[in-house]
Amino acid sequence: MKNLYYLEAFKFRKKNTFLHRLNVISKLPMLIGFSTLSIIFSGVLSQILLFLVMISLFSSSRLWVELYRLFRGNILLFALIVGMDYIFTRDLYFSVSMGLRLINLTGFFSIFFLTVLPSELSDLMTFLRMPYELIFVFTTSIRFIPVVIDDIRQIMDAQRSRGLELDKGSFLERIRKYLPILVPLVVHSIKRSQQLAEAIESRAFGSGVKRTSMYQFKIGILDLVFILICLITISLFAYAKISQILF
Amino acid sequence: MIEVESVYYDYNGHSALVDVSVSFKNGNIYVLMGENGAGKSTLLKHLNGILKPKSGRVLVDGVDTREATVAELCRKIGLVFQNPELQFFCETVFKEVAFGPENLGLDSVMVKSRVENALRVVGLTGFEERVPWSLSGGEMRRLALASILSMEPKYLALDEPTVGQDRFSKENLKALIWRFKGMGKSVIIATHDIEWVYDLKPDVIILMSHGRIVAQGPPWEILNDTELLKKCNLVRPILLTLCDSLKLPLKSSTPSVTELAREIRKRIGEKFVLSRGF
Ligand SMILES: Nc1ncnc2c1ncn2[C@@H]1O[C@H](COP(=O)(O)OP(=O)(O)O)[C@@H](O)[C@H]1O
Ligand SMILES: [Mg+2]
Repeated sequence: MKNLYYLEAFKFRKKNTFLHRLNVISKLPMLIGFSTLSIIFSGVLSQILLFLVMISLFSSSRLWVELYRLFRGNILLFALIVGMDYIFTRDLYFSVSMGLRLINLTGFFSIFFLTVLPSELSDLMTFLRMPYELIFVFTTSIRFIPVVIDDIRQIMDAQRSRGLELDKGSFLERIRKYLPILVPLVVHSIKRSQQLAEAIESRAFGSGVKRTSMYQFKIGILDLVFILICLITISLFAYAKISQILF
Repeated sequence: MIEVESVYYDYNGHSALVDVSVSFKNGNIYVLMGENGAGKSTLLKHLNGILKPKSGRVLVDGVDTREATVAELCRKIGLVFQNPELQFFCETVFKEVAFGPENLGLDSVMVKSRVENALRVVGLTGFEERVPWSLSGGEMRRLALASILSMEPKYLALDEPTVGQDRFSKENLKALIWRFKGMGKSVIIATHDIEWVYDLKPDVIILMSHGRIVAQGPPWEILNDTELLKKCNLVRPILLTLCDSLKLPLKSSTPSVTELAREIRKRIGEKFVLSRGF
C-alpha cells in the first residue's frame, strides 16, 4: 500500500485553490524553472532555499495532505540516497543536498500535476501546435494513471486474499513476490489498450479530418502576478549562481 | 462465528461503512444487498482483514482482525473478488489454483488433491493445462472461485458472483453454496441479483444503503417489503409480484415456480388445465 501512496502525490485533485485557478501556461515557468534549478544547484543551502520555495507553493494552496503524501512516499528513497552518498563520499552536506534535490524535483512536478487537469495539458499541447495523435497518447496515459492505481490495488487485495505476503522474506524473495502483481497488471493493461483502440476507431479517430476544439486561453491578472513572482525568484537564483554566491 | 461490531470505515474522508453491526453464524447463507456504492464490497473486505475498521472491530472466531495478518485470516475466510480476471498470473489453470494452498505451506501431495477437488467442485476438471486468460468470462469466475476453495476456508465470501454468468452457471453456483452450508460452513454473498437471491433461499438477507445496514431478516420478510427495497434501488422479485396480482395467499411466503404453478392449477381447476393440455 505504501507504494501506491507515492503515485497519489501526482494525481490531479479537484479543488478551488489559488494554484488550481491559474492557467496552465502560468505554471510552466514554475515547473521548468524550479526543476532546472534543483538540478543545477548542488549545495545544501541552495537546496534548502528551493525546498522552502516548494513548501510555500504547497502552502499557498493549502495542499497539506498532498505534501504529507509526497514526504511519506519519498522518505525511503531519501534515506537510501543520503545513506549511499554518505557511505561513498563521507560528505554529509553533499549527501543531504542530494536527498533534498530528489524531494525538490518530485515536489515541483507534483505541484504541477496536482493542479493541472489532464484536459488542460492537452489544450496546452494543442496550443503549442503538437500533432493530435501525440497529444492523445499523452493525455490518455495520464488519464489512465488513476485507473491503473485502482487496478494495482485490486490485484494486491486479491493476491493477499490468497495468502501472498508481500512484506515477508528476503530481498530476492520479495522481488519474486511482485510477479503475481505485475503479470495481471500487464495482461490487463494490454487487454484494455486493445479495447480502447477498438472503441476510439469506432468513433472515427484518425480519420484525417481536422478536429474541432472548444478551448481558449485566458490569462488574468493573477496569472501575470504569479508568472512575475516565479521569474523574479528564478532570476535571483540564477544571479546567485552566476555570481557564485550559491552553489 | 464472525462478529462485526459497530464498524466505521471511510476512504479519505468519504464514509463507506457507518456503525455496521452484524454477526455471521456457522452453517448459514447470508446475502448482502443494496444499491451500487452501498458498502457491500467494503464490508466483505473487512472480513478477511484487507481493510481494518477505523473504529469498532471485527472478530473472526474471536480473533480481532487488527491483530492478525491477511495471510492468517485467509486460512479461515476465503474472499472471491468482483473482478477475478485481475488476479491470474500463472501459465496454467492448475498452478493458479495451487497458488493459495502453496502459500499455506502445504506439501505437494496435499496441494494436488486440493486443486483437483476444487476444480471438480466448480466444474473445471479437464482444464488443468489451459491458460487462465484463454477462458471465457464465466469460466474465469469459476476459476477464481476454485483458487479460493482450494484453501478450504471455513467461511466463504463472494462479491457479485452472478455478474456475467449464464443461467446454468448460476444454478451450479447455488448448488455449490448449499453444499457449503451442508458442511456446516457459512457463505456470505454480496449481490444485487434479486431474482437469483429469491431462488437461492438464503437464511438471512441483510439490506444496506449508504454504508448502513437498514434491515435484516429472512427472505420472505425482506423481499415482500416493496418500500424498503425501493430505498435500496431494488425491485421485488417477479414471482412475488405475480402472487400479489393473482391475489394468492400462500403458506410459504417465497414460493418456487413449481409451488406457484401447483397453486394456480388448484384455483382454476385441474380439469380446465388438463383439457387445455397445460
Ligand atoms: N478504493 C476506494 N477509494 C475511494 N472510495 C472508494 C473505494 N472503494 C469504494 N469506495 C467508495 O465507497 C463506497 C462503497 O463502495 P463499495 O463498498 O464498493 O460499494 P458496493 O460494493 O456496495 O457497490 C462507494 O461510495 C465507493 O465510491
Ligand atoms: Mg461492490
